[in-house]
Amino acid sequence: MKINKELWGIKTEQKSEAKKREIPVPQESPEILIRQAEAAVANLQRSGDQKFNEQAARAATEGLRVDNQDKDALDALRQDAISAEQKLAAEFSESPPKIAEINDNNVKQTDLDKKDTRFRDPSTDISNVFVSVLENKLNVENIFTEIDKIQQNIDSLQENSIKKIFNHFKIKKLAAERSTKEEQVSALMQDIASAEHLLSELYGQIDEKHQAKSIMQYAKDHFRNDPERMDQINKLENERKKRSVESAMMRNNTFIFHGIRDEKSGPVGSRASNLKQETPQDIRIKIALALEPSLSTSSFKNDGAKQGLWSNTGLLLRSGHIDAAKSWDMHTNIEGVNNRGNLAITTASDIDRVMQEKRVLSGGVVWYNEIVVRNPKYAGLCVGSLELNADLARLAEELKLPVFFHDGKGQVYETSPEPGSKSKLVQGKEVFPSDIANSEYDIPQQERRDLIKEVVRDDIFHIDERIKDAQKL
Amino acid sequence: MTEKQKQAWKKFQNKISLIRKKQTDILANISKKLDEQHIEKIRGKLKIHENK
Repeated sequence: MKINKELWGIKTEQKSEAKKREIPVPQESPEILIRQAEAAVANLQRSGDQKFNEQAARAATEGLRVDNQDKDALDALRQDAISAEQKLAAEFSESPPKIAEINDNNVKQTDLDKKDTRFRDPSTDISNVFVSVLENKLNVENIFTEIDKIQQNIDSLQENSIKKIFNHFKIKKLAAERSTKEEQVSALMQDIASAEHLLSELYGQIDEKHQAKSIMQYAKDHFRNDPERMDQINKLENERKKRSVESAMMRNNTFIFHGIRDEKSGPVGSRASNLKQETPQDIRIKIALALEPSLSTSSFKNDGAKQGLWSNTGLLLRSGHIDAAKSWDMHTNIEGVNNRGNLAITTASDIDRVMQEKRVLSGGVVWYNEIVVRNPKYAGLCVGSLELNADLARLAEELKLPVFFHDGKGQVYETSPEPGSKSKLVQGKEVFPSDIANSEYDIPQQERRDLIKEVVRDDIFHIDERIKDAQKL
Repeated sequence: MTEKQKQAWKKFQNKISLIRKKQTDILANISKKLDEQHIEKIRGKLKIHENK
């Protein structure tokens, strides 16, 4: 009986929640919407499976039991999602789809009418799918602004212990409100992920000449005569800038560092990293340089205070896009080369707050934060000692990789090899986050290809684990 | 796109939102139940320890 009540409670809550979410009027063609629907259902199932498997694995490890009733309920939801998708496909197939109206003034509708929709230029679909991504992203940004306001209210209500006690219930209410908003963001993020997946699929279908343009440029060209859309695109671009590594580094006067441990250090779970434990440190660094995967990083300030780092050796980032930031380890996991999962919902102000925080906790414990960066670019290798081991010295020489020295208290210096020695370094002038953000180290395209051929080998990746993941899909 | 198709799309979006929310709730419930079982296990162990 209790469970039924809970279900009823959930049902009514969900109805009101759905009503609150504004659904944009679709502009895509029916076939694109059907593909979006397929992607949304697949995404929903994938995320549900992944989370369920995590719980099942936990239950198996700790000798616990997952309630069969819950498992059945999840299976029923999968079926519901598939039925909804089939129903939509049936509705769309009842009447023949018409070609979507597009905003490009250079293309006449009559020209399009002559073509079979199945052979339509994918660039039109790119623009239309981009609009749905854009709208969802702007919705996310609006909710982020609301979350920021709520957080400011919470902060002002708990300025000191006395205020905190008096405002206990108000704070609790606001925290619940923030949590609801975060759920909305999470749902929208899933929609965005599905649409972006479709977008990259469409992008792959256009010819190389057009691929030279980024999707953002593509959208700008396509909507150049539509001031409303251009305004939205510019807003989105500004928000992207706020989330860029270089901008966040300069705003907060912090470095962003991807720690890379050696193979003798403690084990890293196969969910946290794609690389096997025995993968040598120099190969790990080469993989990061060659593939530029989505990374877990930490920030540190050059304020002379002791800094918490996951590892003393790693890569200093000069560029990239910040997906998420948290004051402590977020326990993110890998979801392919360019994505990490289990990300904390993060606004641009959250990024600044996390980067500004002191890393020394009460009792003198030093801790590190976690900042997830997509499409990273590097300034160079950064080490906590003025002596490199033979592998790292060879790597730096081979890739002409700049080597920086950090003193563990936030100060970073340039280095040069000590004359007559391959491994010893001479400390040079101090560098600041702005210097790193403006640095230009990169690996030429051909060298990168060679590097990929050299390092991407079966024996260093958790291939077995990934095959198991794929089989679950 | 016809009005009927627009409505169908909206309906689908609503349905998927509801399913997603339900899925989140069920997964949270699974985690909660596992936590409870874990606590019960610890309590059990403590009791055995006390009785020794």
